[in-house]
Amino acid sequence: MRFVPKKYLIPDEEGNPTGGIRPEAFQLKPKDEGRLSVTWLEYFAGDHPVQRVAAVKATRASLTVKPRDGFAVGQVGQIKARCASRRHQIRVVHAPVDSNKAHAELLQLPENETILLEELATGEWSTLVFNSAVEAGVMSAPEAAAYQPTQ
Amino acid sequence: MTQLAIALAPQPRFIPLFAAPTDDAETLRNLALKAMKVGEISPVARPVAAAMDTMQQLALARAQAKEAARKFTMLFDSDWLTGLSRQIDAMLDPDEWIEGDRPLSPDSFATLLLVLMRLRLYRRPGLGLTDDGNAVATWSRSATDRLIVECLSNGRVRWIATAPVAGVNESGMMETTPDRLVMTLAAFNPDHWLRHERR
Repeated sequence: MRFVPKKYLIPDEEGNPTGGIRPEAFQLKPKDEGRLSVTWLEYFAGDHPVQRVAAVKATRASLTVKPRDGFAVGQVGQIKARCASRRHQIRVVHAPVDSNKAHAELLQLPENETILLEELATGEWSTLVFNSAVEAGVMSAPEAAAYQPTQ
Repeated sequence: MTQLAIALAPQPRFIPLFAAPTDDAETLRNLALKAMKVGEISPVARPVAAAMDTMQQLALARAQAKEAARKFTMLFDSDWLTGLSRQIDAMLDPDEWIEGDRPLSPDSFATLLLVLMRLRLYRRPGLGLTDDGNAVATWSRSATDRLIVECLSNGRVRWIATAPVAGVNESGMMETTPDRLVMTLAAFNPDHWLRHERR
């Protein structure tokens, strides 16, 4: 799940964010040093809706999240497949930080491939959760992941 | 603080209204550049403007953009201009501002005005900003069917579009001039964005 500030949401003429996510939301910036920050949903226990709420609350604990900001939710395998279709072999690694133990990073995402980012923004990474739609509150991610790899 | 920015912004003065509506590309470009010239900060005030904090810069950028847009009352109907003014406020909203982002570039806004003049008979776009301060105009029918036009500071535009075709999303992008924008979007049938539910 990737934090998406309001400025990367596409508004209609009345300012309602109806057009989804702009591709720049997934664009690496110089400060990212080649690593796109995300929060790993399966780190948290529970079913998918519960994990989403927990991930939003954990992100709020580590970043300044405003009411009209959002979160892009995507499935790692599908995102990897889309990148591979454009000959980019990305990697996703768990990279916990003090403020968010569920923090993860996408590595080897190309820096200047706008069409790929547009495809992700309108496809595999287009599911948008508005911050305002998630119950109020902040929660630190637990020390250990709930996720257990299948044998 | 905000009062200082407003004081620096172009003050109302007697300026003749621009000529009647025209579609001539060169005339429109000259009109937009002239409007942004009116909104420029005087050389005397520039050091003060450079020392302004973010909130003051945003207030100044809002005032400049609105002043420039007001020069086109002959081209846009009043609803359009009222809506545009609200959008400028939203685009440069201090409460939503992220420290480190650049306020609206006057040159990019001049390009946006060119786009708006070209497309003034269509639905008004949504507006946004890039991290670099370029204006972005958007028309969308859904999250997977949309047109994004970045207005560059050199008078050109870069569009990125996605639309469903036979059940599959197709995306494309191109850099062009405002007067060739609609023509270069032909493969996507741009009317389906531009004419959709115009209010």
